[in-house]
Amino acid sequence: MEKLQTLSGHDGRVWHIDWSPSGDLLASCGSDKKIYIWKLEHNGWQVVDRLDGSHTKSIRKVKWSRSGVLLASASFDGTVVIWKRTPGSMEACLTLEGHENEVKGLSWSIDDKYLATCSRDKTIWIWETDIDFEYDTHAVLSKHTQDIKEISFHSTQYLLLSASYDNTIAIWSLQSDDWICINTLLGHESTVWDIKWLNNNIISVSDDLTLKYWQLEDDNKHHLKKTISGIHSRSIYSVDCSENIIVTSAGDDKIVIYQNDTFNILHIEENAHNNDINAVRLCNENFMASASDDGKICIWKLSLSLYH
Amino acid sequence: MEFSGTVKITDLNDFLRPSEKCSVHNSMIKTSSKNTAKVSLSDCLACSGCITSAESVLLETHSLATLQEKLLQNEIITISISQQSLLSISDRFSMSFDDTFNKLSQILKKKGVNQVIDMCHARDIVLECCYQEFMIKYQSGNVPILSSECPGWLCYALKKGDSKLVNLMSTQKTPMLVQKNIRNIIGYHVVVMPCYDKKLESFMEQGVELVLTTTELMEICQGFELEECNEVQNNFYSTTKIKTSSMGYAEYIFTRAVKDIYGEDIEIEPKSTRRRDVYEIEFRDLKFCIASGFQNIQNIIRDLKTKKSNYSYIEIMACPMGCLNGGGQLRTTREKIIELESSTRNYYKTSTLNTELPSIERELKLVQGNNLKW
Repeated sequence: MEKLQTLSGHDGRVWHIDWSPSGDLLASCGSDKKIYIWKLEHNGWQVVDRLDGSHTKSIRKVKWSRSGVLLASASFDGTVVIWKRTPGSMEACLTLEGHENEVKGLSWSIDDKYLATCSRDKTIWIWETDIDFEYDTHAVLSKHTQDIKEISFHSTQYLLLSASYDNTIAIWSLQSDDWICINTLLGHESTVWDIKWLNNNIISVSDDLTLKYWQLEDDNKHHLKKTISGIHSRSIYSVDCSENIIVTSAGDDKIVIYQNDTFNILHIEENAHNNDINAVRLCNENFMASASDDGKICIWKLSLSLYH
Repeated sequence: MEFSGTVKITDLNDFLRPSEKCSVHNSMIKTSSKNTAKVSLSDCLACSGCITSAESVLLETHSLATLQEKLLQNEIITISISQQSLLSISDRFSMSFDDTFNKLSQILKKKGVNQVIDMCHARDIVLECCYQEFMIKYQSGNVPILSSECPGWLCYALKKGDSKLVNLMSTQKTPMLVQKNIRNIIGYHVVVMPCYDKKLESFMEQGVELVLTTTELMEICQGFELEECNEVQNNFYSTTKIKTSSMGYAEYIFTRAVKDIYGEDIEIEPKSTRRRDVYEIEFRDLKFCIASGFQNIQNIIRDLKTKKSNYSYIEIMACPMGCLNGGGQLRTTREKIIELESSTRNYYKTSTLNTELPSIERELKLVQGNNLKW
């Protein structure tokens, strides 16, 4: 794995990054209340847009819609802003208000019909959009007893995961127009920071320094199958996966790459940043980006030898 | 004890700390690191920060134990039972509305309660007051009006501190708050309501000493078989009766307004909309809305803000599907509520209704006033 470029621009910690579905743009956000849009030009990754003035506090997450047309940003100011990609720029379309305080995570459903947001107010809000680009509150879900850190929609079904400071993961399903909590996964011993669907199975990372793998079994429930520990020495903040690999980043400034079926470690990048790595996101099997408290974003090239 | 979702959504923190957006001006609450702040409940109902402190006070005062104490002391006790509570019980035991009331009444009297009365008349009066308020505001173009019966919704609206929103709310008192005056109740007055949040509301005004929920009422009745009481009494007293499982503000006002404005008698059929649990009633220029559930409160507020709403009156309830699904009601299902709604509607379609208005001049004077001072 090779560092291709270090992107500077954010003033203060970079909280999150997200690749557009086609991989041509990278969005980043941070404590400077700004969103940067980066694009690969002939001389490397360059800022093509800087979105400012829509949030009054740190921006915690940015996520592209599945179509790549919209970008949503979640902020500690309690609001979510939806941006539309137009030729050459991003335009703020609307602000979703409702959460009582810091919005920590968001996720788009496969068809972009639903946007889920979660907050320190312990609730998950499901927003529903129609062809007129209006957003309705479809549901407000309470179950977690603490701050909800992240949520993640399944890639083909209306299934949603939520990860919380209460150490649990909840699985939500849309059933005859109601969002029902169909299972709660217990096992982590501290805050669950990030969760991902790995096909129909689930991977999660936590402040308890473990990566856990939950497998869907014959009883149609997820069961804890694997716990990977002893790799990171500080809180694991982020996890991402592709067809072949899983990648994690943590407060120990390390990025670790695992084989996604055996969980064998393929590579450990020590000191990938000079401070906590808040997010790591795969673009495809070849590229990856990471965002850190050191104010930098790094673009990494993954060598093919990793996979063999 | 469970408050409705809207109240529950807020941080539960037993340390008495006014929230940032406290509706009472912060300077009024004197806090220092050593002394506990003193805030009376009526100051703080609209505020998220203090609700847990209130909760413990309420648990002590608004409980079954309090009633049992009063019964032991041989105090004169009157229990008023809301329609929504009666409907919940009659649905559970598959009994008629009147049977349910009469049987409950007998059981409670055996327990030592002096008088058991319904709240239909209070509701009639309040509906009429709300109708008069509507006509005045409608004719001066001062609409929409948002209903203010549901304490979960009222709490939320006041807590948001959005004065534009609060100014749109109906200023009429609720049946619970006028019951004592209307029915000349003496002694210790207990009211049975569909939700816990009504306990909060009772701190607003004199007239209710204790609020119990439907489930709490059923706890008192334990040991008695509801089906076994047979004696028939008849002290039922109402003109509007129930056509819906909730309060029916929108329907009552709409029917009366259509009659007054267009001179037509119409049968109301609320139409469903693309939003679940949001219904519309429409006749010519008149358009009303009935919305329930926290997510729809959000949608209604957003529509009002963006001026997309063209309703003249909006009845809002925090519990999905309204009061039959209230936090203090006997558990039921979505399907059963839908079934019940349509069957009560059909029942009143086929029965002859007394459409004469009650003679309420005197009572109107008694109850008119501002509900929103809290």
